[in-house]
Amino acid sequence: MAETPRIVLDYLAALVLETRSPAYIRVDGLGGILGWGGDTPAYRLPSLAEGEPVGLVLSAVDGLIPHTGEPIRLPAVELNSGQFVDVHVFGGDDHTWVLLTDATLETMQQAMLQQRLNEVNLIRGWHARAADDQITRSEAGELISELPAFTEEGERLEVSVLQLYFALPQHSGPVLATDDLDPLGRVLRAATEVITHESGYVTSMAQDSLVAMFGVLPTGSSPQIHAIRAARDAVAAVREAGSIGGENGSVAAGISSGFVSVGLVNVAGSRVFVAVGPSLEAAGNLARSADSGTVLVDVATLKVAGDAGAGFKSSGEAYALDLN
Amino acid sequence: MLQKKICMLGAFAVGKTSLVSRYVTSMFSEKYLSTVGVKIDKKTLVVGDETVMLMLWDIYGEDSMQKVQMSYLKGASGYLLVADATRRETLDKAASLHERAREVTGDVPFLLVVNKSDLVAQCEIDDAALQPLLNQGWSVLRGSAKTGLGVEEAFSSLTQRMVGG
Ligand SMILES: Nc1nc2c(ncn2[C@@H]2O[C@H](COP(=O)(O)OP(=O)(O)OP(=O)(O)O)[C@@H](O)[C@H]2O)c(=O)[nH]1
Ligand SMILES: [Mg+2]
Repeated sequence: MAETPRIVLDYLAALVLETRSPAYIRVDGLGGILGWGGDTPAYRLPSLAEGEPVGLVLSAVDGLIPHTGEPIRLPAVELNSGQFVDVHVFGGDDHTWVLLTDATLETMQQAMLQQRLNEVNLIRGWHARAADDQITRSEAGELISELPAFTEEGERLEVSVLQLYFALPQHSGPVLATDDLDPLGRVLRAATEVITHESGYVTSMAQDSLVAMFGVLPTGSSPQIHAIRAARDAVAAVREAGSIGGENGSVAAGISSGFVSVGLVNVAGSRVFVAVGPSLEAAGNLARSADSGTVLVDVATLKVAGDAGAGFKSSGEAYALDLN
Repeated sequence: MLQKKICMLGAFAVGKTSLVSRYVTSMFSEKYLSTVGVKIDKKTLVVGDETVMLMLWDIYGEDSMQKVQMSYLKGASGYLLVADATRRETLDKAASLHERAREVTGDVPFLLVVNKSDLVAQCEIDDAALQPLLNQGWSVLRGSAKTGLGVEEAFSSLTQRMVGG
């Protein structure tokens, strides 16, 4: 890489001075303060005094001095005031420098992203477990009583809701002894797998249906596209997983897109995702009215589906894709 | 007064912040507010005839996107590994963080807290899962930031080992 021209370096230095409020404290080999400068008032540190141990002023560097070797960087240390600061320790021997640069803004942005991601990952984990345990949502009654708490803090999201309805064939003979799951468990797991693969996530499961939402987890393309792809794959997967002794059951899918309010509520020590909105009901209605082997989607889904919408034919107010 | 630095290490949402807050302020909140960066809390306790000021470094939990920066562990006298009893994978995360922490801290005392043990029905970490760690000489404690079970004990037993008591 070519050497960075002086003018660029000067510009960068000015930028850091302007946006990062750098402040420094110079300490001796025992951590006693020798001097300070820069924008120390920005950090509202307890009063600085020569000879004081720096650890009393800034607990983050307690135990790090005397410093030798590579510089140390401690990103996003929260100060008492709720401000975040990157702490840098470098130099050595008799003169160690403690440099503070403000990181509040990027840390707050990071916080929002991380909160969302962690919640989503927790939910994913619960769903994986729910699929494993073949849990049906018996807590539904409890959820509704908690709804007001979530609507206050919840958020509105544009999503596509996919609902699957399925019926398993009647047992016509002995189920293979090698099957470790019952057919319902296999079906729920197979559907959950393809839905998760399309960045959707399953919000409820029952004996004969499954609901998933796209657009809650970060997705590569639009939620509608993922939902349609997932519906195609899920119909195939449910058929395969649900077939018993060569006999297939029935499976149909409905997709509706629009705004829903989502939030997390506490149920018996676990946090459960809740969503409300007209699309949920609409997806259910579509799935119920779809013939077996058919995906029925509303116009809000199809109009932004791009290539994923190929093969759908107008059917009343909705659009149908026949996978038979 | 002795000062000792303890780091809280574990996967996200295992209850690191909740354990610190139960220990320092006796409070617990059901609400999940994920930690970014690190927050340092202090608490004094008496071990034998020694008064120790603990600096508790509550570090963000490791997730799929972000590894924990090991620079936070510089100067630590010990650490608490935290796992969530209802999420088996958090035990593996604790073990891998332990490996990485070792490279920075060397052979300092540590202790594993299997948190959320109040959620008995959802428990995924049974005694058999902990046996291999116990065989390797780990100190392990079941606890709950919610009920307070094991919390004092976790911090004080770790501190005792740090000050050589
Ligand atoms: N039932 C129960 N819930 C707990 C317990 N400890 C923590 N929680 C809950 O678990 C969630 C996460 O707790 P935190 O203390 O924020 O977890 P953390 O490890 O600090 O999370 P990060 O900062 O994101 O890494 C919160 O909703 C807490 O209320 C516990 O002992 N029992
Ligand atoms: Mg935390």
